[in-house]
This record gives sequence, structure tokens and C-alpha cells, in this order.
Amino acid sequence: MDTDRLIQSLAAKAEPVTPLRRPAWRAAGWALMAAGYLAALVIVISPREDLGRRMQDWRFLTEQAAALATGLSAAVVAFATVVPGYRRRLLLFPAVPLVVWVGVVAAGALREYAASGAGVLAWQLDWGCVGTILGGSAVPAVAMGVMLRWGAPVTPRLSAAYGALAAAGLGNLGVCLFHPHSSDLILLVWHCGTVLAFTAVAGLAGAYLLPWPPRDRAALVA
Amino acid sequence: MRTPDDERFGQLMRAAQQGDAGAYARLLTELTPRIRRTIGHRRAGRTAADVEDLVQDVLLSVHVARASYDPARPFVPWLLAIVRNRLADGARRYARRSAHEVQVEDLDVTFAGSQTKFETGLGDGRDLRRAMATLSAGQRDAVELVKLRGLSLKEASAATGMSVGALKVATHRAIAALRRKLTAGDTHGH
Repeated sequence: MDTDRLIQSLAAKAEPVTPLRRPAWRAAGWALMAAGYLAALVIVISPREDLGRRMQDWRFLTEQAAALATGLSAAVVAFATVVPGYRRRLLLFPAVPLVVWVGVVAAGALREYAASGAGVLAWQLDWGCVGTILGGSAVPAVAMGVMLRWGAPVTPRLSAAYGALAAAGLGNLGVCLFHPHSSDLILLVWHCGTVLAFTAVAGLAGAYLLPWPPRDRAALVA
Repeated sequence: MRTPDDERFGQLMRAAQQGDAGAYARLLTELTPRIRRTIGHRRAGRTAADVEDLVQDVLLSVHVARASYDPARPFVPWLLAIVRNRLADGARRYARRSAHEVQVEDLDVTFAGSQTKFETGLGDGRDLRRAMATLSAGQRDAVELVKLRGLSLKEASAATGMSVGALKVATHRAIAALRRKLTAGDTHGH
């Protein structure tokens, strides 16, 4: 088809569109939705018995605050990446809270190792953690995927990875409110490991999860 | 930092987002030679048709992405990110297509048989172009978009304004007409 005719054809379909809101606003809306889902999950399953005591433990609070900050900052970055021409340095935004979160947990695991010796390494397989984190992350992740598709994911792997990190970060926070864990090493391997694995898998599958431009462009044109 | 281009294109895109078809046509028309130049620089060695395919691909992508443009931000980086995305995708498609083609570099120049002295047959490019020229504009668009560029019927429908049903009919009739013309030409040629 002749390019000039294509332009006329596209111009004839120039219906008004609503520009996407700023990434921070979109992240806030998504986080509110995710918080509602996680609050419902905690209420239905019932909070862990030692939650009141843990809420006075600065390490637990730091860990959860860092997980929350990781999730929120990753969400802002994910929404920024679906706006073509975003600044690459934004990608480092979640690095600090992520390092703090994993660092606090890793420090706890090291202290356990120093106190108990090699015995602490006899940690059990805890697939329950994986299931609860994935369950807690599922709805926020689906909502994130839908919202990312409203933009233009020109770097789909990055968008999917940051979106997954956001969902898993908040999912992990919710899970920690109702699912107790016996040691920091388990927390490091099963919680942080699941979040990072979820992020990596989503990143690798990004081109399939967020194909762009959509094959059926007419659906967006219509 | 916003350049004069950012300002001008940004204003046109803002108007396009509000449904101003004239501003949108002006924007796409002004962008097209720039996109063509950018693609030409980065894809030296491609045929003009390949470059034009990519230009049209970028224009379609700009169309589907126009809600993602933030008027508060510079326009050119937004556009270049889309161009880069389509170039990368085009390179992947090109590599896939090349992988299925057999390159024959050592063709004999002449053969003893008289048959090779005529450029005839269903695969002859000039015959095909001549046959295409006899189709109606609608049939030609249908074949170009659906059969040559590989767009889905819905995509082609969006680009041409024809209904999916009309496109199916136009494609079917165009293929039948091309077959008739090329077969007739082949018979006459021999």
C-alpha cells in the first residue's frame, strides 16, 4: 500500500485517545488494588499468631518496608517502561530497596549460621512458601499485565520483569503477614528466591507476555 | 531538553490525541521522510521496498501507541524508541525470512535450451507487476497487505477501511485474476 494512502487512512481513524497517566499515578492505582486483594487474603486466611510481636521487631519492620518499597518502585519503573523513550537510569530505582530487603534477610541468615553452625543449613523444602507467594502475587501480576498492555511495551522483557518484581514484592509482603517462617535462611531461599525467580521467568517470557505492537492492531484502532 | 522539533511534533500529537485528523495527517506526513531517513541510515543495503515496509510499520506502531505519548515529555525520543523497536523486530523477521531462502550465487549465464532465453513463467517479477497493475485499487491493496506484507485481515481492514468480508472477497478475486493472467501469459510465452 502506498504510504500516503496509509497516512490518510490512519488520520481518518484519529479518534480521541486519553493519554496514559504518569507512571507514579498508575503505580499508585495498581498498588491500591493489590493492597485490597492482599488485605482480603490476610483477613480470609487470618493473620499469623505472632504478628503483634513481630510488628515491634525493627528487623521485621525494616524487611517488610524494604519489600514494600521494592514492589512500589518496581511498579513505577514497569509503568515507565511502557512509555517509549523512558530514561534508562530509572531502571536502577528499585535497586536500593531490593538490596536492603535481601541484605536484611541475608544478614539474619548469616547470624543464624554463626549461632547454630552448619545445622542451620538443614533447612527443609518449603514449597508452601512458593505456593503462597505465587498465590499472593497472582492477582496483582495479572492486573499489572493488563495495565502494562495499555501502554507501548517497546522493551517487553524489562516491563515484564519489573512488573513481576512489583507483584511478587507486594505478594511477599502480604504472605509474611499470615504465613510464619521458621528461619531467616528459609526466608532468604524460599521467599527472596521465589520473588527473584518469578521476576526472571517473567523477564524471559516478556516478549510473549507483552507482545508489541499487538498482532491485532485493529482492536486498538477500533 | 526539548528541541523545536519536539515542540512542533508534540503539539501536533497533542491535537491528534484529541481527535484532530488534520493535525494527525500533518504529523504523520512530516514524520515520514525523517523515519525513512533514519531507517535508511541504519539499514543500508536494504531495498527501497524493505525500507518502505519498515516506514509503514513504524507509522502503524505510532498509531497504536499514540495514547502512550506524554505531552509533557519530548516527542523525538518517544518516536525514536518506537523506530528502534520496529527496526529490531524487522531485523528478526528479515533473519527468519533469509533462513528459509536458498541463496544461489553461482548461476549459469546461458543454457543451451531456448526456454531460458525468455523471462516467462509464474515466478517472473515483471509479469507479476504488470498483472498487479491491471487489478482494481481495492484488490491491489488487499493482495499487498494480506499476501505480501502478511498483515492479518483485521489489520488490513484497519489500514484500508474495507470490511474484513470485503477484503476476503477482494483478495480471493485478485488471486484468481492474477492466476488467470499469469497462466495466460505463460501459455502465450511458450
